[in-house]
Amino acid sequence: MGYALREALSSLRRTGAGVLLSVGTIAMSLFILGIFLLVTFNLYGAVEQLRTRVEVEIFLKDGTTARQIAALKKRVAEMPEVQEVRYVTKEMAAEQFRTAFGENLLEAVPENPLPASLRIRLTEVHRSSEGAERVAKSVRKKPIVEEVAYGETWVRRLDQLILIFFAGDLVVGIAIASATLFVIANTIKLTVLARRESIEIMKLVGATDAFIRRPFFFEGLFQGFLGGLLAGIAIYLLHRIALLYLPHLVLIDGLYPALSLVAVGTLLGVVGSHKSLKRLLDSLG
Amino acid sequence: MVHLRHITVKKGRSFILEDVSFHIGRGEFAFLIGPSGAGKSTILRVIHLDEKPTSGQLVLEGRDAAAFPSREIPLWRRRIGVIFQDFKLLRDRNVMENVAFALRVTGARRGTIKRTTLKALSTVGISHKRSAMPEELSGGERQRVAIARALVHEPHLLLADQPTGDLDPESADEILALLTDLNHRGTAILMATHDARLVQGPHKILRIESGKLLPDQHT
Repeated sequence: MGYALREALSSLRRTGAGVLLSVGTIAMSLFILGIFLLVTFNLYGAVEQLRTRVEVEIFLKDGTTARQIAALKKRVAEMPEVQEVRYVTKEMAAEQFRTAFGENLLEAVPENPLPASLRIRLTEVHRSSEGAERVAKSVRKKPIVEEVAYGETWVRRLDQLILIFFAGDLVVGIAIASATLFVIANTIKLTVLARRESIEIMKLVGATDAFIRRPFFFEGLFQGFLGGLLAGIAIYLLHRIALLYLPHLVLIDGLYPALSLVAVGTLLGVVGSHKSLKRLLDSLG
Repeated sequence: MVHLRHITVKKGRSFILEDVSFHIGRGEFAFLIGPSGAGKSTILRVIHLDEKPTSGQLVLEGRDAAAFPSREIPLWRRRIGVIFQDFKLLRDRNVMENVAFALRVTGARRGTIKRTTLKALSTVGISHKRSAMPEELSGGERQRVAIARALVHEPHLLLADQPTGDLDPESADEILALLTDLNHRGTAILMATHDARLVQGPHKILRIESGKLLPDQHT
């Protein structure tokens, strides 16, 4: 193992310019992938924030007793779609109304017209029009329920928007990931092929395939890691700059995309080197 | 030591070797002669286990080569030396490192590597150039380095694929003298060449044309 590591380092030193070129190419490809990841992670964060606003509100008939309310609250809370149920009294509703629309509107009517309600926060996986509708349907016919609302149109639109976003993101993601994979695999392949003569000579003097592979494992690991690290640093800096200029749009920590790039680069370096070398060794017999 | 029995190598529809049979005994010196493209290198590649015959049997030191598991192939290659017309030296390593490399791949100890490498360089008369890079050497000197590399495992057989092809007549004679000397020390040699001038001495001569050994040369 010590020999393989020494051999890998001395080989990287000998082919300095070529290594720099391949590390640069890997870094550039991963940087483009990183921009995509950064945009995706942030959009995903934004979508998740929008989803948290999906709530079902059960308006209760005036005169409903505390016991009836408690029974309904318990029943609703037991549903798998429900994360949290809050009881909003008529007074609390009025207070919230005043905060949102000002004092004067409520002063115009003799008594508080706003009904008490149960506000339901859905669990993460059920924050969709289907989830909300299931909860609404289960309570709509109850005698103490006046009405159930969850912003049906808005939630449906949000669902469609999310679907379009993820479909588009998936297509673009696959295209960018394939291009990155292609560029990195070929970059590594070229560095392996550039050493074809050395590999032939190694076989000639009786080196086993495992012996030939070891230094290439470290070289692939090093090139992939360094390319990933450079791309990761660039993405992290880009994220910091975006935070300065677009603080409201940047929701996700830049560290995750950066670390993903280091991991992806290292993995592709090792796998790419292993595959290229295997193909070459097989062809050499 | 090496028996080829009815060896045929086909690429597509064309025969590279056709029904080739001969053997090389211990300490023997054999010339494999014939024009370019006759199949000389293919025979050496078959013995070096770089090329699998389409049919026929290759017996190496009493064992059928077809039964060699793939992990044993490098071990066989360490027991035979091989040299080429284009030397096949690592351009980015000096003479000493090139020769030592053949031992390094076997996992030999540092002390053993140094001692054996110096001995091999001394045997071929090139130890004074051990720090030189290959491009600083003449063709004859490079071939000496390649021979030294082939010798570090003390092979029973040395395969020489037109080792004098790129050399001037004087250097070619020196290399042949060196090979003859190695043969006198007990190493069997199979040397492919199309230089009829070099074919001399009481050695076995195998003539090959269009992939076939000429009938009167079968042994």
